[in-house]
Amino acid sequence: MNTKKNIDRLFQERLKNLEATPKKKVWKEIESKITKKKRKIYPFWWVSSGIAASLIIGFSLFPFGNSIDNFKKNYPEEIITKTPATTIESFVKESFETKIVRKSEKEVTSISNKKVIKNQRNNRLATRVNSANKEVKETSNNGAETIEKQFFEEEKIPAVIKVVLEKKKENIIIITKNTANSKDDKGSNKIDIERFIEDAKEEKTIESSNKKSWSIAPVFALLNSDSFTNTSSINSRLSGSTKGKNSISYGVQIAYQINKKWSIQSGLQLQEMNFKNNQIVVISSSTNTSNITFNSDETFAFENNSDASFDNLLPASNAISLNGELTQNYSYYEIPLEIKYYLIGQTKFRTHLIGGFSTLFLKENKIRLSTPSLIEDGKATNLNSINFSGNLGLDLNYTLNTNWSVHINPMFKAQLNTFNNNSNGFSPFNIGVYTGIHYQF
Amino acid sequence: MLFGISLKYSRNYQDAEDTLQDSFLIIFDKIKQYNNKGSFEGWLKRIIINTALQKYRKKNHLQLIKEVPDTEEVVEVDFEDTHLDIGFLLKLVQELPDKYRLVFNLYVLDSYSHKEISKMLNISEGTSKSNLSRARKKLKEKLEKHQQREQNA
Repeated sequence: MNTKKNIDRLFQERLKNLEATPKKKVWKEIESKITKKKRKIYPFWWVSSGIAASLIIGFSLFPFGNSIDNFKKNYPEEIITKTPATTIESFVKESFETKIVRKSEKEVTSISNKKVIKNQRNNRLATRVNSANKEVKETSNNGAETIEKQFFEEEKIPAVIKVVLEKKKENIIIITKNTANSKDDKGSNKIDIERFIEDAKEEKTIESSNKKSWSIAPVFALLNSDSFTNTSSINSRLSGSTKGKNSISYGVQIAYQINKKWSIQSGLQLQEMNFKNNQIVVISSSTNTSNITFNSDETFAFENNSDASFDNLLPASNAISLNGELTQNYSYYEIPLEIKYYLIGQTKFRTHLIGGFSTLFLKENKIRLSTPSLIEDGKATNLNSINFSGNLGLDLNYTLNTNWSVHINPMFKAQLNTFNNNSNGFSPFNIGVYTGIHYQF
Repeated sequence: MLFGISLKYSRNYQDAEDTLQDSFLIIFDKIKQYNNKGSFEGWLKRIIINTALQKYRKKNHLQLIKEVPDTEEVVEVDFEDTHLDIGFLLKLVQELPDKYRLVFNLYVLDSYSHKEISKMLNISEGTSKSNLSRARKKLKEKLEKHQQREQNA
């Protein structure tokens, strides 16, 4: 068939959809040339988490850094060393060393050893001390006091040692030697110590070490977005077809333990949200009925494919596609502020309840309309740049050792201020499983 | 798609590969400057075009250009749709002299105005128009030759 045709149009039409794939060699060369630049991408995390970490360290060292120093300072003056080593004592010494060194600082070990030595050799003492060892094992650096208690129960001990404990904040233990032998003194001291041991046991179940109240963790989460309502934020005609998709969130989390029950956590995370409308009818239209502006300045009307009323519409309309797909993708910088409450658990495995809110700063805002015949990119016009979300979740924490722990954390986050207006009642939320490795210090 | 653009703007396959490679280096370098204004594809396209333009703009710097009267004639050709495959058309475009090819590509295929083209190529609008009409004529001649050959065969 011969047609007269504008040469421009010929080339326009034929070359418009020119698709060509270059040889693999080209990609390889490109790859090799950009690898140097690629390396710059990695430091981003190191840099940002490094800044966060140094900030926190700086913060924590100032007001909280002196507890260990006090501990060391106060001790040496108080310790009185007496001597001779017998077979029993050396036995006791050894058993102490093996059991205590594992868990607590060396100071404690030496202190308790000296205490043992100080008291006169006694066969019954040895058995007592042995039973005390079990308690020492549990209460780690509070071992010395446990032994003291045993000593008080021994009537024959000549020296009375008074233990004063300042609870919690700093484990400053001042031990003074009292040479008086009066029974009244012993009695009152006994009560003090018993009370202390109760406290210590209670504490032990919650925190093995009070000094480590800060923690930092890189976190990663899988999110699933959804809405409380069935509507679509993009177009009122699309209600019922909006589906949430999986997305991810990642960032850094920092936490500070206020006391044994409560801790507070914050951080910086990147959060993505993803929604999709499948099988929608795309109609070329001159008026914009949706909350989208496309980059091409074209406007479309949308209808729900499953809508029964659509059948009547079809003949009159200039539908582009009956099976279009609208993908909405937006992401936030998230700054959460959450409070954790200790629920149940042992030393190793602990469960917390988490509640709080996040401030969300809009980062990306994309909408893609794709039909078999065209792809249009655009963005939503009704997204607020600052958004908030209410957060609720459960934190399951497993302690690996004194510095490290892992957590898994199912969270529910309801967004409060996503859209500025006419979002057709769309109120998004997401359910995510967060996980991360904590470093305590 | 991007390599397609690169092919259209280049003299041959090798040049197109080079252009693509250079463009990607620029893209990775300047990715931060892409600030979500406009589509990402459009942005990529601009970079490819600019890279190609730079490449040939340097080379035809010294060539003399005779201006021809501004005639917005419509060049029409007879052709049989089915016999013209895309590879052949691409070859015709690539065979055009650099200055003609660039203008033709920009104006016809990527619908820039003469004003924009004159800025991009650093030439006058008149030159742009005359180059375009020459490009059209050349393409027409070649198409006709091709058709004769086809008919003879």
